[in-house]
Amino acid sequence: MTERTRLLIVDDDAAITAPLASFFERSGYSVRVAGDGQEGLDEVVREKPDLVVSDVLMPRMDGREFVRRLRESDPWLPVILLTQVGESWERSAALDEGADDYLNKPFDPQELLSRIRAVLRRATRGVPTSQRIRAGELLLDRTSRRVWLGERELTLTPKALTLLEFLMTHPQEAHSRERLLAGLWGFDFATSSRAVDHRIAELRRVLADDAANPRFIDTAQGLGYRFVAQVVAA
Amino acid sequence: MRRWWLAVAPLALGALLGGVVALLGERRMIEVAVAIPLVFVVVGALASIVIAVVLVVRRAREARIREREGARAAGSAATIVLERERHRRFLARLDHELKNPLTAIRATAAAAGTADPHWSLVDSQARRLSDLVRDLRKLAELETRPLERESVDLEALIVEAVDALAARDPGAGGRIRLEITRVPWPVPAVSADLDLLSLAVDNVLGNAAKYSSAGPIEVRLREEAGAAVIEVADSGRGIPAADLPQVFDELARATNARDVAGSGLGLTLVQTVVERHGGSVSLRSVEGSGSVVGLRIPLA
Repeated sequence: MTERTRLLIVDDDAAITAPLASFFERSGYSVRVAGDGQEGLDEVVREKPDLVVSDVLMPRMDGREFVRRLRESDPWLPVILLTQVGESWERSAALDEGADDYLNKPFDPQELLSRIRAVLRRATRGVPTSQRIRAGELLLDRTSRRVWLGERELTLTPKALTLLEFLMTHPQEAHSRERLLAGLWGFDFATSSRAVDHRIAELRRVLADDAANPRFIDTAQGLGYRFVAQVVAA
Repeated sequence: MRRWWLAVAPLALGALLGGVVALLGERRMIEVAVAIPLVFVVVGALASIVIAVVLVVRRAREARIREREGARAAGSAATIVLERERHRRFLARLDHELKNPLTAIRATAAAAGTADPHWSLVDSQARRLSDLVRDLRKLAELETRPLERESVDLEALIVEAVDALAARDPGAGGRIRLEITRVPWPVPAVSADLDLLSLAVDNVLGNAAKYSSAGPIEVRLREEAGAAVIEVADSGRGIPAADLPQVFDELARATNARDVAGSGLGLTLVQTVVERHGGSVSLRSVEGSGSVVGLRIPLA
């Protein structure tokens, strides 16, 4: 029998951790629970998990501080943050602290499960978390928020840039319009998914990327978009 | 007027001097001869002075009243802003406080397994509740969220919105008639947040499709008095006159719309988005005949 993947759930609300733990165990994971960031760090030291799911708002040590401290000792342990606010700046803040992904409360536990799988896949593939990343001649500096295609610096609207950053840091994964919208725009009213299409169109125009034969952004039929180029640290 | 005594002071001073002089035994007389025409001139001049004084006094009083009313209006505008801000904070708190219980309910339902129809029901209702609270909060946030303005071609936006609706609902798509004014010139582009404006137009179009099962839907675009006007007209069920005053309120739903799914947030969203662009929304509706929703977006 292969060893079960080990998850650590860090949240101070037992009404959430207890059923979540039992749901993950039924889905084939081995689960431990910590009540706050400090307990989370202790648990990681005691026995390193394969992935951590952590709440943000907690007593003693909150989720951001937890991720910061964790990153000092373990830059590669995958972390999914359960954020409280659906705003786009919240999400980039979560990623800036070094979380690999985030999900807004209240979430569908099935959605969390599929994020866990995606992050674990990404972790085994070793997608760069570096501040400067490159895909072919496309270079993105995440700190200064500047983009170059070859020698030429590109001008993008803030939304298009955030979208490009998300796609490049999650390459080879198909993302639904709804998820991109909820994560990057901070609103996900049902009829608004064309907003994503507008920014994809802008990116393709600026990157001179042919939708029929894409170098960078592929349309995942009936689902959304996927960054197809290989992304490496620059 | 607080300085009325200034007007009386010369009279009082004159009376005082006259009394003193009389007491001192002054009995001499001054005889003045005045030409009759000059009397008319002097009387006219005095009348002019009286009228001028009355006008000045009245104008000063009006200015004071205007000032007071202005202050009152500014005060009530500030009160409204404050009230909206309080409302927004309340929705954020409500949303925040409901997040953990709703997460717990959904996790419990997931742990119980979706095979159980009772737990599926619990899960779907929890989802519905979380969507509603989330939308309410996001709606409130739209009031202060920074706009990302760019030059927006409204004709392209409308055509795209109509195409998107037709893709979702081919029946409604077939009923739409576009009336775009292009002569003598096309409606100029507006400076707007493309995402939010699309959201507003989608909502209005969606309502027209939702509340009219048959009959044409007309979508019009024209320029009018420095604004671009988008109108969406349907020949659907309309809104009862009694419901019209509340139609833009959050969660308000017309009494004749109970059979159609909806959150009661659509028109609030439309109004919020258009007002953030300095525009206004109008709605005319007759129950049983249909509705016209107009979005006015200033051009400059």
